[in-house]
Amino acid sequence: MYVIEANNVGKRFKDTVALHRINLKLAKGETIILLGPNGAGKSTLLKILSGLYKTSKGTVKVFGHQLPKDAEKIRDSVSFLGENYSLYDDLTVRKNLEFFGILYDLDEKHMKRRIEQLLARFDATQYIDREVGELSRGTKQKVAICRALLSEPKLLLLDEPSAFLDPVASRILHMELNELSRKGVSIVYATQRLDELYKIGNKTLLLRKGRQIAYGNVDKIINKLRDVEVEIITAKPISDAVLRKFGKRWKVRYGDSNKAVIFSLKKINDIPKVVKEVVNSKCEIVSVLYLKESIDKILSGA
Amino acid sequence: MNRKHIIDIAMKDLREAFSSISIWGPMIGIPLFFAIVLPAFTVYISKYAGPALLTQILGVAAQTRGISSYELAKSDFIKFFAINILGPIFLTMPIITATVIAADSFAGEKERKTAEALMSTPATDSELLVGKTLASFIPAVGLTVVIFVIYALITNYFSMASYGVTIFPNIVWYMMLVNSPFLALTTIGLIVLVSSRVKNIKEAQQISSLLVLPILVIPFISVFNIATLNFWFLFDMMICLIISSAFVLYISLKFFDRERFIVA
Repeated sequence: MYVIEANNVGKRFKDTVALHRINLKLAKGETIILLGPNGAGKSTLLKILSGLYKTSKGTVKVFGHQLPKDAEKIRDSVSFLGENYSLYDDLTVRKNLEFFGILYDLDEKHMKRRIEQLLARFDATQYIDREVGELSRGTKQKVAICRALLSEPKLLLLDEPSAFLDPVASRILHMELNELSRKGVSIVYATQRLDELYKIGNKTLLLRKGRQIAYGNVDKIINKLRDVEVEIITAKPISDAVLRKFGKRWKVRYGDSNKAVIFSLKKINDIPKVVKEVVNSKCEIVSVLYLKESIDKILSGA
Repeated sequence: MNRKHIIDIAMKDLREAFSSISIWGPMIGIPLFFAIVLPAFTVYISKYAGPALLTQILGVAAQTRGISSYELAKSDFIKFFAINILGPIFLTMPIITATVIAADSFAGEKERKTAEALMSTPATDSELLVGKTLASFIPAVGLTVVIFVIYALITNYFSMASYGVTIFPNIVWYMMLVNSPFLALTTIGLIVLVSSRVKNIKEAQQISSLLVLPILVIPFISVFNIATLNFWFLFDMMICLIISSAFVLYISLKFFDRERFIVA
């Protein structure tokens, strides 16, 4: 039995088609990345899978239960983290987490232990008795992730959870999700960040304007990607001469400074070649980033 | 229904409401002001008002009670005023107090962007509704009882000091007290229903005020001489309020829709 079976799912809000004929299947322990730009329908699909929204067309089964009819039967096993923190600003981190823990019927001792463990994992223990309203966006997001993980769900529905997280916290999140996946937790992870495909997904569903553009294993989808923009940041400025040299082989331009160069590539497989050439030019690479803005192009070319 | 879920939701709402002085300040301050100032003012009028004004007020009071004005003494005036005129004002306390928190119940979750997380928890529709209702009901009724007692004590103090008589407790006072939870429940039920179907707190407050207006008239029935505020009137009113609060809660539950609540 699949954890999620969605067949020809459609969703309409008055005159707007938010989703059109989406199909996906997710087995136990699998992670699927919903990849798409703003307005692609990722959040709507997550809300349908959590039982919050009804479908306008098609059928959705989660743990074998038909949604939204049997939504109450799955809520114990599912945890949904929306695009907002969904935390109460006037309550402390502890009170926020305890509030949700009780609604998931967690044993009090276990809940308290789990809250401490999760906050420690995301390096947020020091905020436990602070009101959420006083916290930074990144810390709020960490607490929101802790909330989503608190009930030890069998299915995690996450809407851009790495938004506002610093690179260290993002890495912890990815490690935590990979660990959960190994333990049999199924995950649906919506993102606009292409790099997250490599870090957590087994499967991916590419969405654009509510339509399914591609669906399948991550490797297969990645090979289909076209027109990728990669930003390489170096320790020292790159001279015009070096940039011209790169320009002979690739389409390049400076990024925000002369320590950042943006390469427009035809294929995603070209990235290792670019990195090799930059290294060969005696430039010390600090980081390699996919540019978020390029996702529209990627999806239209996929 | 899971009692733990209900208490958890209610306690969370109460913690949120009482974390801000801008919410609990007026909610407690205004009734308290009326409980202290109004009785003192009544005694002041009865003692120091000029004969013309007092005769006029006594005339109106006597007319309302169907007797001639000379049958009313000054002490009768304060009694009449305390029970028939001010009593109903205090009957509106549960309505006013409940409106503040109830309007925030669901609309506030949406405005603070916490609705999706709450709606995706295992809490059932009935647990959510009952929890939210309870969060408004507890302070509304609690405050009403406290204010009624303070009002009665202060009125008694002034009337004892001025005329050597006590006014409270009496059967009408008890019945008003008994009515207040049901009055609060009907009001809260209506406002929670509205709050779950609007975009924000402001909209919830505006629509709620309109809906609550007919309920606000009930306490003033005796003031306008439509009926006498006695045991049987208040008993009938209580039965009506029990039925209407049950009906409102039933309707709220029947029409509660998580998607509509989030999308609205």
